[in-house]
Amino acid sequence: MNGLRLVLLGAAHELSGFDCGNKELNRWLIDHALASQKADLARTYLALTDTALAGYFSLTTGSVRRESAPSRYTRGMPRHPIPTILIARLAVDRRHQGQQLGGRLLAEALRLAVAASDSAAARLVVVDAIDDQAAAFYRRYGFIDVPENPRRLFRKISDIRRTLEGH
Amino acid sequence: MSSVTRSRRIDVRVTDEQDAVIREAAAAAGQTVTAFLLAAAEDRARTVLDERRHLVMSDRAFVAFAAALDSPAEEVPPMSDLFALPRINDE
Repeated sequence: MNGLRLVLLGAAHELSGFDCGNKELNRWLIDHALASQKADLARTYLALTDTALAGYFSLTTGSVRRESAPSRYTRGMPRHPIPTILIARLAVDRRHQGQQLGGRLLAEALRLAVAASDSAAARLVVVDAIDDQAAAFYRRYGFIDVPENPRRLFRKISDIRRTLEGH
Repeated sequence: MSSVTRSRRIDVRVTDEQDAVIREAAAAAGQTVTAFLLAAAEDRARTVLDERRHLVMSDRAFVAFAAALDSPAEEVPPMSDLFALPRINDE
């Protein structure tokens, strides 16, 4: 796959032909990604070949919090929500599947997440897996299921940073 | 929000009954139908987005989860394989 580039989504990008095989992920990119970006709700990055859009992922922030209000503080219980960087979506166009582009996109998303947490602290990367197959993909690379939250997986940013430092 | 130009349209068809109940509720709230619909839809939209971004756990699970995060950083071998793949921008 020659000439692949990772770029931040812009108004000029042609998105309409994107098809990863999942309607929800297609539609979000084509209809909502740019508006979400303009509203500072999500950042979307595109993997572009010279002629086509091969894949994308979107990053945003989030948290893991406990059910009861923080005012109901009990001894020894952590009070605060845990800040997270969320990989909300990651998809590869059908024409580019089976070439490890998903893994390469995930690697780039994790590098960006570590860089983001260097400037604005977050403790975890959380991934939102669209289906069981996607969840298995993330598990394969060392992500762990978030308790009580099906198809949400996580890894500590400090683990990811440590792993990245070995390269 | 009010100082920003509203340049986009969302067209929605409604039944007679939906139209009546929305107009009545907007009047009761002292709002125009547009303001009422926008406020309700935006509120719901933000709730849905929040549910996606903010994960909630029972108190018991949260305590165990938060405690486990204090362990020292460790290298993740399968993730290391991921970082060994060619960079997207380097080709």
